[in-house]
Amino acid sequence: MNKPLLQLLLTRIVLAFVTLFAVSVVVFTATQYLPGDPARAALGAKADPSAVEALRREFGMDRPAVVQYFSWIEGALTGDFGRSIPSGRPVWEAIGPRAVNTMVLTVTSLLLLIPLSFVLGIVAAIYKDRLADHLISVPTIVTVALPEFVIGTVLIVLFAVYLRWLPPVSLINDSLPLSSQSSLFILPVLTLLGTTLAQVVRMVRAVALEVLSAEYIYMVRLRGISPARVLIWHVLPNTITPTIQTIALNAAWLAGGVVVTESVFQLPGIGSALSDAVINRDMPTVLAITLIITATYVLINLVSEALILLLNPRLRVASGKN
Amino acid sequence: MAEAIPLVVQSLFMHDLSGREIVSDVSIAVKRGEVLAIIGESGSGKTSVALSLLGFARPGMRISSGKITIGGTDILSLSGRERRAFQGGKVSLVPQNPTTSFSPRMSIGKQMAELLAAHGHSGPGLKQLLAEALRNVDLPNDERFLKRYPFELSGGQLQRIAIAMAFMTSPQVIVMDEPTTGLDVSTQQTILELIARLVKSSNASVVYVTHDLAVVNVVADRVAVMLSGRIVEQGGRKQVFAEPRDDYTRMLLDAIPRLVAESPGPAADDTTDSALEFQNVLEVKNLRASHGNVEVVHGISFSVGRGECVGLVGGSGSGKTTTGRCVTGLHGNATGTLLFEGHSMPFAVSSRSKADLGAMQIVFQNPDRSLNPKESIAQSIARAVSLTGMTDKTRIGAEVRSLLDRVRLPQRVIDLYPADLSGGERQRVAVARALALKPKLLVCDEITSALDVSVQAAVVELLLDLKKDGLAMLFITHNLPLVSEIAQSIIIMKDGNIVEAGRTSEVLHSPQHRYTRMLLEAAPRLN
Repeated sequence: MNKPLLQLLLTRIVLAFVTLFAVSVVVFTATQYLPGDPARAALGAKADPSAVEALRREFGMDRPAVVQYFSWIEGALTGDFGRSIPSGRPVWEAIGPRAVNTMVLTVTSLLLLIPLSFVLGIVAAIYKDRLADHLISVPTIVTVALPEFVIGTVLIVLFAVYLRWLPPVSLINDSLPLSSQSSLFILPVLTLLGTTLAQVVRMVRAVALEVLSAEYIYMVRLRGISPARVLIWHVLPNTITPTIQTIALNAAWLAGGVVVTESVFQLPGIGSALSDAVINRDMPTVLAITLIITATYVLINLVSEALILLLNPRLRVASGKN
Repeated sequence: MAEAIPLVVQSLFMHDLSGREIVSDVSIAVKRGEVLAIIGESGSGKTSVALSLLGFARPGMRISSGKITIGGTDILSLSGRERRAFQGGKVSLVPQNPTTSFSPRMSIGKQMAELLAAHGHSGPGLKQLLAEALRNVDLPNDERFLKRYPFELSGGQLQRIAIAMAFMTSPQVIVMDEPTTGLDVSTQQTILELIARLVKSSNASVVYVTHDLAVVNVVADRVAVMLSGRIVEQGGRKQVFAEPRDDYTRMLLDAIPRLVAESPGPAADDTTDSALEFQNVLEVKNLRASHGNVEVVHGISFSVGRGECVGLVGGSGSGKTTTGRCVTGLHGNATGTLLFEGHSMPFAVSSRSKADLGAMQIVFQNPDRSLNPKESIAQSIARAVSLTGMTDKTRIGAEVRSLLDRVRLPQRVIDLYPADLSGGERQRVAVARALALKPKLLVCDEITSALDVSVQAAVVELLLDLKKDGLAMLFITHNLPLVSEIAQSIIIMKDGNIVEAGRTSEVLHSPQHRYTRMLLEAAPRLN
């Protein structure tokens, strides 16, 4: 890789860390002002005040906020997110398996989303205003208008209640390997796909329409190049770059928006862990999860920007000349 | 039987989807090594005919009947796969706009190799053909050049590659669709010479589509004149040019701008005597302009007087457009002095007074891009009129109608949208919109170069009228013959400097600078 491009990427990475730091400050400050005392929430309303005080001391909550923040960030940087307040177990131990469940769910959705949206979008563009286009466009537009809990519920009614093919809830068992429970992921993945697919398909279709009517595509065709080659070597590369941003947006949405889908299917993931932690005033867990979600967002954007830079011959060549 | 004629078209008809006839009963035949020029204005169907020779119709158009025979095979009867073997192999196309005709994310070497591979070449044979093709068009055949992407090459270089590709597979028929229209004069000249040389050595049948009759004179053996989808006249070039039989052909020939030096008499010299008494509307002193850190205009000075038209002539990259943009306040990265009607004018458009902004108007090259497609003609012009402070709707309406009269557009266009008008009509709307603000100075940036000759002539006539009314004009163009018809004085720019300036007739009769002489020689002309 050439120097200026590397520099550009390094700047982006530094900015990513700045973003993470800023978010951690904001979230930490917010938790300080959240009504309710974590220690009292853990021990119950009737707890002995001295026990509450002891618990506060044990978790270091009696120290000034700034000191608490820096000791927390110090731990976070070394992978130690502290201990969960109600259970006293390390945070990571509690949310680790749930984070894995969420990752399997979102990554599977994303891996299906990308190829599917390109195939559907380009097919719709090629057969613009014909049957294939309508068959693709109408359902995707309908699903994009529906919130994920509606899609999830409809899927449950259809596949679990009516057809009885799949379980209505996705109660994943931590002690069994995930591969043996893959059917539990089918409906949640379909729900996430339903809410994201439409937007990406619309974008791919719009970009592909523009590319298909470009003069250079006619020229390539009039050179006698086969339709398959035209599609793969000329239409596809010019369709990908403008759609990366849209895909990144949807990927980022998947990382955060997974919360609702998880609660519809009662899937033990990071989203449901977050809502549990908020209810219990379990601040170390809230902080850890928000940071993980933010990091995912930032990472997705970083990767998409890097891809756009790498795929653009203009930037690649211009920076390579110096 | 005598040798078969490579290209024969018999009663070709083409329709658009609404059933309108676009091409009517066109029949042509082109022998080996012969160049047939199809001339006509935009909308005459010439490009549709040209593309049909590759068995192709643009979307929204279809080939309804007729026979197109290439090397004895009717290509319209072929299946998709068989037709592809012809496209690029037995019949090839040189496109109009080289910069938009290459796949942007593939190196040019790969695009050339892709064409050869599609027509059965591979390995060392392919490499050899590729090397030969590049040599034929005077381009370097090295790995570094082949790895370049289209955006790294100039329009002239890309057109050379397009030409190389068209000849590379030794096709029987080569179709050229306005291959030099997008290039500047000096490049145009070398490309024309290149085409002439390759046609001679390849012995292919060539169909050359153009609206530029002067170019026809350089390349064509025979000429077919098209009007509204029909061929109105067809014959040897000399015969058609010397004794046109059809009225339309005569009109086309008359509409071509000629260098005043060749045809003394027309418009430009009727005002030469008063030329010295011009009161300066615009004075530019020591103008320097930069793009980023690169200076592109190196300290030029000139002035434009009331009722005077100054032609600013130069090739692409000469800094002529930047100069026009500096004057109108669209390019702030500049130093020097601008005096407009005696007072100094800042470069940034945001620091200019409203009155000054109205008093100086610019019309751009491409009316397709300067008119809002979602606004009717009336709305477009009315918006400009209301900027003068006029609020009364009926008065604005009356003003819009009088502006349309002034640019000689019929009142019926008032409720139409830009898409409903022809290129020339659209450009007149753009001029009307500029005039709405009653400017003292009009900057015209290549305003005729996107137009057909006859339309061009009408726009030029309009400008001459406006000049008589006292409007000062800075006319930016690369077209020396055109400028000689309307400008009293000419400024020739090259690489950001003025290389020659003076009265039009003097510059054309006794050019002092080498570059001016080159431009004069490069300008294609009739006879």
